[in-house]
Amino acid sequence: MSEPPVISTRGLTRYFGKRCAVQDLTLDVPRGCVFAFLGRNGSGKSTTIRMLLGLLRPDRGTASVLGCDSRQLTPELRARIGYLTEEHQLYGWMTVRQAGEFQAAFYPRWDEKFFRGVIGHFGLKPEARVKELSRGMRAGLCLALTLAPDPELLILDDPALGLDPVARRSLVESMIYLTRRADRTIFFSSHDLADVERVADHLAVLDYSILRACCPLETFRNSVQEVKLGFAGPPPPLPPIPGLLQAFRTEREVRIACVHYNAATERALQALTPLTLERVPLGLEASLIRYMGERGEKTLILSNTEVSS
Amino acid sequence: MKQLILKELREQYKVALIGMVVLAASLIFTLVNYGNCLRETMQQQTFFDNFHPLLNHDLLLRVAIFCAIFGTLLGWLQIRAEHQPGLWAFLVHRPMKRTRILQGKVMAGLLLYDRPAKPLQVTSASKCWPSSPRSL
Repeated sequence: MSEPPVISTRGLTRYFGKRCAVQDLTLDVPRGCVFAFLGRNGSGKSTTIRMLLGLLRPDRGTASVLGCDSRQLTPELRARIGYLTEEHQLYGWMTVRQAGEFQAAFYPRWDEKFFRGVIGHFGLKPEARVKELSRGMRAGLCLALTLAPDPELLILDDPALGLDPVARRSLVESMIYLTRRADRTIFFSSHDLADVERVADHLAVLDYSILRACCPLETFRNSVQEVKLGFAGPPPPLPPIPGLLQAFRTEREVRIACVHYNAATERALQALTPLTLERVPLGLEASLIRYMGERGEKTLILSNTEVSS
Repeated sequence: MKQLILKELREQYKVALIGMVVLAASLIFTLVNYGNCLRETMQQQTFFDNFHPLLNHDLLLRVAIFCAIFGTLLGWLQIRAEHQPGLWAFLVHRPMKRTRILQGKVMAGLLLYDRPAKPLQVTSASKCWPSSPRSL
């Protein structure tokens, strides 16, 4: 029998006034995975996370975390969930040591040695005041405060937001090396797709408040494909192609991005009798941009200095 | 709970200190102002029958208004300190019921509110002591 999901939502919906922030979100997060929650700014990622933690009430639908309704999380369950907020906000007057002591008082499983290890890793002095720390250091401190209680589920809301590339890399690497454990689930939202590609094994994509994809990372990467067709002259008009995301035409070439690329798609393309048909390998970032970008056909004919869509 | 109360006390102690100084100054001002009258009435042995500067209507009114404003300001500052969404989430998402968090805040607020009233309590006690039979 398969294990129940750590996070499960059914038709989760939230409005802010008339604006729908999250619409009918249904997803399951399996235990032990690193789950990336992706989407543009304002697509509803943080709102979803707040609903999962019971910090915000959904207007419709349900969410359960560690098997409990998110609106009724008990203190015992909260102790098993680590949450890193988007802005890495802490009390500025506290020193690093005081922040640790403050947090430790609430968590029965607080691991002081681990906390010291993580702050040491980020080069934080225990007597340094939080308000004097750089953003990267503050993020490191937040990470230490989130991890030291030894949570079973980690929810990280864009942990690398606002960090420079070095701090971001350091944070993400620490996050993975320090947190990866077979029984620990990490659910994190991010905009940095290179990081997601390196660390995540599942992803969900929110676009304009609607869930557009929820699957293992490999499945997503294999689903979105780009093909380059070369022609002797101007490319012919395209027939209806199943799963077409974008088509980009130039004088002698058409680049086509499709979702669920399969034999039927290939047959439809071969019917155009191209000189060459070449698969272009796409990284996660390129796949996601194709998947979430504006759909349809675009033409760029440089000889006429004309750009149309 | 203790950590929560300590946090609140550490965050707002400056406000409580300011309140204490303002109220103490107001009391000193009143006592000095009424000093001469006080001496006269004490010489006439009619101190508690005729006159008590701390029971003066104006002073009581001023203290009442000050305490109301100070209490409101303190409560507002306690709320405002957690106003940023990230900080609020950091406070709320911990193994503690929200009612306990509120309780901690209220207790800290009462302790802080009690600070400015200290000069008033001390002065009142020192003035009331002579009137009690046990002082004889």
